[in-house]
Amino acid sequence: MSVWQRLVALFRLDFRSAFGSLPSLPPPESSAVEEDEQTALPFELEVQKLDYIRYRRKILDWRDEFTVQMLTQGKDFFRQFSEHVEKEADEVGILRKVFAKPAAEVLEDDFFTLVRAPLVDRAKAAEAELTKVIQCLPPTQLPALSLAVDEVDPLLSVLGDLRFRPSNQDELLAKLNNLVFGERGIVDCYLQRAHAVSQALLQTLDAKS
Amino acid sequence: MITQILFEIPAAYETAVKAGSLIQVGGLLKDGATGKIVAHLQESGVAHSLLSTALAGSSGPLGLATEVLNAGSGMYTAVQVTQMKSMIASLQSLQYATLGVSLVGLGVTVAGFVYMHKRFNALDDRIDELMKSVQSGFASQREAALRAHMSQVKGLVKSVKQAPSLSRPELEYNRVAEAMSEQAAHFEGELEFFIKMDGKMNVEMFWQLAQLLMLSNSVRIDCRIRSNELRNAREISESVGEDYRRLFDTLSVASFHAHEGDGALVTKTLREITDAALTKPYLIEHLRTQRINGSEYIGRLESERTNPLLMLKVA
Repeated sequence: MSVWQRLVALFRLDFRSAFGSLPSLPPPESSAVEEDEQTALPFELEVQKLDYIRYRRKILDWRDEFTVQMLTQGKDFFRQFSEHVEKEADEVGILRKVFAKPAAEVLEDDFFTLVRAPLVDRAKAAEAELTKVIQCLPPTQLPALSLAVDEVDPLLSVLGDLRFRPSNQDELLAKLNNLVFGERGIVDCYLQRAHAVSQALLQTLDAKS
Repeated sequence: MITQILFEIPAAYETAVKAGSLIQVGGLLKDGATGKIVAHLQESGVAHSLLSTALAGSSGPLGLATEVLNAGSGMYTAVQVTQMKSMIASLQSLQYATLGVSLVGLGVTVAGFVYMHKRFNALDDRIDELMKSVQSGFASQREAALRAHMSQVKGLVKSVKQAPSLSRPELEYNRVAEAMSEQAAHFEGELEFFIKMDGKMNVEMFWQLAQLLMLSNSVRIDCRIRSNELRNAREISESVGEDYRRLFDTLSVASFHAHEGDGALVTKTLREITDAALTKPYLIEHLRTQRINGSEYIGRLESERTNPLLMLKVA
């Protein structure tokens, strides 16, 4: 109804028409509303990101497995070495007890054979496992995957001038235990290296996703 | 709602998962060939009821795992034993490594408020015990602040539990979601502080703090789903997943002062929780795009009486 028509209605005292609400817009056709509600909304997440989540998990599982193995097998290797040291100490003659050799000199080779070398082997095996893991990753420029680390204290200088005699056995084993499992020790170096490798891989994947 | 809420039992997918045609990623299954999402794993009210029983018999967080795994230790009814065994078998066949501990029971999928309330109470007691008995690494001022926040969280969970009796529960859900966001931020800060402290972490203290964060986040997201604020729920969920990735991906067995076995269990559980958190936005996005009402959806899960785990089929 126009303004003029409303004024006319007012003169005729037809208040309902004069002040009645303005016609509203026609309601949308019910079928159009229903159709709209029947339509799926656009999916706003990237489904490809699921691949990244999966690959990320494979790399983390590899690192977790390596960490557990280095810690548990490292303990086994060190236990065997400790038993060997005890046996050697028992066999030290009276003369050698008095004029004992430096412990580092006596133990260097056995420590290498019973602890260092098996840990190196374990790291090499982990490298091979990682190569298998990355075969399932999307082709990309991969970072260096080597777990090789500099040999920590090759001459066992941690033992200082400690002599190899039964009375020093506990002290020297404690020092060597720290060399294997302590902060910046042999195992720690491998774990840090594995962490760096896995982080580099994850960053590469993250950038690609 | 344009589609029916289609739930199936996990057994329907086991063969395909075993054959490798379906791949489990966090809380969902995707088609190995097409990459499309096929189904989402969900815990039902039955799972919460079972875990509440386990919680009553366990002494600590890792103890809960033992209770879950030792179904049949006398505290369950015969029906519950069958349900518990079926839940564990389903998780195993869907290739979840940490069985009942990771997804189920931490409310990573959907929070049950009654269960959550019990869980927070148990955490409160245990953290108190830990702070008294071990060197937690927190200064007394920090301990007091932590206790204050835990108490606020307990209050929030208690009030959200009563929300269904309100005439407009969605208002309460939104209020709790907002308040819980502040609590989660506090716990996240404390956890980050704990992680960055020198030396190895006390595994149990870490686990308690991590659970506080996870449970708070679960309640936040759950409240937004119940009030049908699905886009917001999805965005919170995305940010939570990224936070867990940032916090937990750098941790390993070597980060904890614990036996390797316990450290390995915690690490594996963290991995599964992070994966589930990273994939949860996909579930919420599915609900949103299919115009499934969030409150109705959770209602369906809570009213389930037989199966502890369900698969939401993506049509």
